[in-house]
Formats: sequence, C-alpha cells, structure tokens
Amino acid sequence: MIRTRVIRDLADAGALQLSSYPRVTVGMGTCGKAAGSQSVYDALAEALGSCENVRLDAVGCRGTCWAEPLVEVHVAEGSSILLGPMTPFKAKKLAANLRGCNPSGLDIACVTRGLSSCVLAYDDVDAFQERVLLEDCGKVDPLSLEQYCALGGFSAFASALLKGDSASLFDELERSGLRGRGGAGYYAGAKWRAVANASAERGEEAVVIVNADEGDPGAYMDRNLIESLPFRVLEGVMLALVALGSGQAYVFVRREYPLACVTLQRAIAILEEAGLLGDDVLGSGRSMNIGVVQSAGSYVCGEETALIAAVEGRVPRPRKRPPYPSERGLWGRPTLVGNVETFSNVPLVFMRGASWFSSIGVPGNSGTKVFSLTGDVARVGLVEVGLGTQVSRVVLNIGRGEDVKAVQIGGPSGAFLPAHAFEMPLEFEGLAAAGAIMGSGGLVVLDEGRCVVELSRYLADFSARASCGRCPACRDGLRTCADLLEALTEGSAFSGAIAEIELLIQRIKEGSLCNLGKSAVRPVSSALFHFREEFEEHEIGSCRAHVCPGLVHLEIDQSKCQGERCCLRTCPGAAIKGRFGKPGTIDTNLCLKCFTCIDVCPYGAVVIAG
Amino acid sequence: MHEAQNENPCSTEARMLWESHPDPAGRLFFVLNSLQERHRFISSEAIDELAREAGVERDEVESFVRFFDAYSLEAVGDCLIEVCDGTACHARGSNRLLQKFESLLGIREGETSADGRITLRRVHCVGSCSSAPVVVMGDETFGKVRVSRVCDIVGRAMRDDTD
Repeated sequence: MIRTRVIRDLADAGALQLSSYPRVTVGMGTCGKAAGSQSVYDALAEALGSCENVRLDAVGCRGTCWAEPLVEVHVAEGSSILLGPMTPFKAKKLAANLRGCNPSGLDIACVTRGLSSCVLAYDDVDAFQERVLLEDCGKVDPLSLEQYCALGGFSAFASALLKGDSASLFDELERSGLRGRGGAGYYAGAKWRAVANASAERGEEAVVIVNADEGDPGAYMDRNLIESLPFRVLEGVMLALVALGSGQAYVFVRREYPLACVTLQRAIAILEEAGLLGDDVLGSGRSMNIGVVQSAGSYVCGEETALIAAVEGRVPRPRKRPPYPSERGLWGRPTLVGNVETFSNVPLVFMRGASWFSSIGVPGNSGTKVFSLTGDVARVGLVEVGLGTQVSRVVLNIGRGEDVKAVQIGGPSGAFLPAHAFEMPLEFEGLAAAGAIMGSGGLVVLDEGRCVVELSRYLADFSARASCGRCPACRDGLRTCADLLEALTEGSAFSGAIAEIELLIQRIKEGSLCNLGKSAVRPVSSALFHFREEFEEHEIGSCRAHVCPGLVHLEIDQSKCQGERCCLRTCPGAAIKGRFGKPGTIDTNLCLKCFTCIDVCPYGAVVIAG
Repeated sequence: MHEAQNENPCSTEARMLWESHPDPAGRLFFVLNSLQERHRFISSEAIDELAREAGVERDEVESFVRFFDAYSLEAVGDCLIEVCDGTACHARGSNRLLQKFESLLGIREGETSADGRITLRRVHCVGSCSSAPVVVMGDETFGKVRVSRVCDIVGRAMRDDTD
C-alpha cells in the first residue's frame, strides 16, 4: 500500500504557509548574497521580530540578478510586489510600512510607501521570457518540503510509484521530446530506455548520476536550480530511479558551489526524514538512496566518462566511447548520467504531460532553456525562453545590451557569435550548423570595448589548463595555441602566427580522443572566422578595443584632470608626475598598467590609448 | 593493525575517514575533501594510507590529488583569497584584480605568503556572474570588486589573521 497521503498532507501544510499573507521573501542564492541580501534579510527579521502576522521566508533566486538584493511581498492571493535593489535601510522602511498597514486590508500602495524607486514591474522584468523552471525559483523556501509539495511537487513521483509502469514513463518522456540540457542535446527518453534495456539484458541494477559539475565559466543556471528548488531536481532523479527500477543515485557537485552542496545534502536528509528516500519509500517496499559527491575543482570532470572515473576514485581522464555509460558506467553498471536542468524538467513533464511540454519551443526542440546572461548587458541574470527563440531577443530585448559586438555562447567549448548573426534561433541543430553550440547555456555578451583576441587567449588558456593530458594534440597543441595568442595580445607575435594557429586548430581537432579536446578550439576558430581583421591588427601591434596591456598605454586627459593627484598617491609604480592643481602626466616607462589610476580618478581623466 | 601503537596520526585519521564512508562511490573525494579542509593540505602519509586501503599503487592516489585544484601537497594559508576568473569576471577585468592582489601581498597566484597565512588563488567560475568581477574569501563573497577595493580586502585578510 503506497502512502500517497503523506504527499497530500505535506502539500496542505505548504499551501497554508504560502497563503499566509502578508508573506515577505528575500532572494538568498549565492548571487543574492554576493549582492548583500543577508543584511537585508537581517534588517527585515529584526524589524519584523515582534510582528507575528508577517511571514518572512529566505528563498532562492528568480533570475532577476541585476536587481538584487530582491524582496518580494505577497499581500494577497495573486497579488504581490517585487522590490529591488534593496538595502537594509529600505528593508526597515518596508517593515515599518507592513506594521503600519491594516492587516485585514493590505494594499500595495501602502506597502510600498516611500519605496517607489525600487518597485519592479513583473511585466517589465519578465518581458519576452517564458518562465517555467524559473517561475517557481524564488517563490518558496528551498528547504521547505511542504512548500515544494504545495507547488505540486512529488505528485508525479507518487503516481509513478503507484502505477509502477516503467514503459509508460519512457513513452511519456519520449513524446515530450525533452533533450539533455548539458550540451549534447541527446533525447532524454531514448537515453533512459537505453539504460533500462542494458539493465534488463544483463540483469544488473542501473545507477543514476546527476552531473552538477557546471564547469563552463559564465554559466550558473544549474547552481541556481539546486539552490532555489533542490527538491525538483531530486524528484526528477527519483522518477528516473522508479522508471529504471534502480535504488541508487549520486549527485556530483562542483566544489566551487558550497551553498548548492549544503542545500542538496540538507534536502536529501529532509526527504529521508519524510520517508521519501531510504528503505521502503512511501510503503512501496522499494529502497532509494541519493548520495552527494563533492568534486575538487576540475573542468574535465564534466565529461561523463571522466566524471564516472572520478566518482570511482580514479584519475578523471575521459575514455573512448562506446561503450557509453548507458551500457557500462559506474563500476561497469548501466548508468544514466543527466544534467541538473534536464532532471528539473522531468517532474514537470510527468505532472503536466508530454503534450504540454512539447507545445513549448519549436518542433524538435521542445521546452524552455535557462540561459545565464552575463557580461555587457544592463540586465545580467538568468533568463528562460522557449527553445528556438532568437539570440537577439535574449541579448537585446531581455538583456538590454547596447553596442554589442558579439556573444560568447557555450563556454570554452562554445563559439563567438557576431552581432550580425543574432537572428539565429537558439536551438540545437541551428547553432551547430553555424559552428556554435548550445552548451549548457552560458551567454557572455561583449560590447565594442572587449577584445576578441584576448578572450580567445583566455579560453584557449582555460582549455589548456583543463586538458587531462592524455592526448598530445590537446595537451601540447592547446598550450602552444594559448601561447601564440598571448604573443598576439602582447604585441610580440611573429608574422605568420595566425596561420600557425589555424594549423594547430586542425591538428587538435583531429588528434583528440574526447569531445572536450575536439571542441576546445571552437572559440578561437570561430573568433578567427568572424573577427579575422582584429587578429591581423594584433599581429601588427594594435588592439582596437584598447584592452591588451602590451598594445596600449595610459594617458591623462589634460582637459579633464583637475590636479587632485588621487592617482599620483595611489600609483604603485610612482609613474605619475604632477603638481597640485595642475594636470598630471604618466611616465609610460614606469607604468605597470595596473589601472589603479583609472579606478581612483573621480573625473574619468585617465584614459587608455592605443 | 600490526603497527597500531606507533602509527602516524595522519594515517590513522585517513583510515578512520575511509572507514566512515562505506560507500565506495565518492569515497576518495570524501576523505581528501575532509583532510584538505582540516589540515589545508594532503600529507604524504595520508596518501600512503589511502593507497593501502584502496589496494592501488601510491602513484595513482597521488595523481588523483595532483589532478584537482582544491588539493595541495603543501599547507595553504588559513585565509584563502580566491579571485574568480570565469569568462564574465575575466571580461570585466579580473586579471587586474589578480595583479593588484599579487602586488599588495607580494606573492604570485597559487602561492602562500611567507608567514604561511594567506594564500592567493585564481579559480574558475564561482557561478556568481551577475556580480562580476567576484572575489571569495572564506565564507564571504565580494561582488563588483574594483581595483581600489582590493586594498580593503587584503587589509581584512590580515586583520582576520591576527584574531
């Protein structure tokens, strides 16, 4: 007898919490904390301390990172207000307003009195987005199982457990058209079925591994999904365990994400306590366990075969595929390796149905994708759009980017996409045809003030350091490539360096065993393809973006300088000369190019010249 | 067991940690993460012991330790300053921050100050790209760090030390 009642009781308790008005929530993800949300929360907690009818919840991040610290006040059913960026001072003001209002008839005007400057309109901050996963992030306390159940959480799990019919789960997932969100875009339904088949054929129990080793710099959607809604990720994993008839899963998390790691461990403990994990889950007689494995900092571990080796305690070097992990994975057992965002979508597919899921996005690319939009846009943060949405919509309409030169999509294995190609739809095949990849969804926007050559050097250097060192083409080739690019940025490259780089690209592509090596050259090859003239300029010693330290010098704009000598006093190289009240000058021979002077000048008088 | 009386404390500790994690999956990570956190380095004795427990060559465990950025074979400082150099931070000038830290602390990235108290590291994306460039020190994350603020952070690191 399966005790689905447990889930209903939890949901009822959670619904009560969520409908306790007024309810104030503070976004406390890693990004919120970096923006100072802890002090906002503390100020609210202190000011509301004696006020019993106001509920205060620490929640995750809804993706509106550009306006953090974020506070949301739910005044009544379907009526709430978003405030940001908040400060402790404004938080006290808000608390005073809440205390002053009549609790039975709260109205928004009264709550936001004196805070109108930080009121955010939902239809403005969420414009052009299709929010499915992010919709629930920032709504509930991440570690409240009751609140998660009130959102419909674990209803799909309970009914799958009740039915015990794996075949229908595979069918549903296949019909939804859900594809892996980690980069490769393999169909989730087909992958699950392959693991189940291998498991049935050999009579070996399958294992599930969540790849939360979000290694692409500039991508943090997985971190946010874990921090904001850990139970959804875990429910996805548990649905996989039900479908595969398996009892063991692991989440492999990056060490750079301490909050995500702690959140997962606590969430798992809460599920064990509630009888949703452990022996005899909900009285079904089945045992299910999820372990957390914390990595120690290695990009290559994001590759599934390397990840499995690391979990086994071996040096994480990717191996040749096939056999794929679905056949031979952890300890040789059939293993389902999936990405955090993929697993987060799974409960929604089963809860709302495959046809609902496939109605979002475009044919062949169903559902939404969360992108992390960073770099030179006014509105940095996480955005969610249906697959097939144009790049321009995300970068320009949602991010409000101006003077955009290019966007780096997909991290160190991804590409540079120039502004003239922004009509490109964000979907797997289209991007691949254009020489780019979806990757895990990192979009770093670059305006005219950024140097493509320098960023290519950075990404090549990143990949060279990340190389596991097995294949010489990748290990030595990437290092040489990064060195040549460095020479270009320093103005010390020999003529013919660009041709040499092109040759190396070819060699690395052909001589690398795993995809990390093969695709590590994609940033530089795409940069060369779209921005070749910038490389050629570097070869003859000029950087149009005035970024490369070897190709620029600092000058003081004599018309702007007020002679206050802030720069002179802070210059570590004693390179600045000048008398009080008179414009100063910089001795380029002594200048260390540390750019401290630019930072300290209140008049913006120090400029970089080519 | 045969040399229980005069066994090195590092080996004992490594063995106890190993035994406290019965699941072989992720076991080596668990032991090494715990050791690194407690002692800020992985001792040679611990590596010997882990190789013995796992029944593999010593080399294999040592390569594993060397492979990961978080582990070190020599002690790192009490205070670890990590300058994020993810793409977003890099595009927003993280290398200038790193340079400033290097010149203020008088050490290069990856090194520990002469008194063994402060270690400076460059790390790959900490996932706080919306506040780029980011510096992490202990439990604290500093967002939108400007070169001029590096001085304050270093000052804080030095003060924290003396408590």
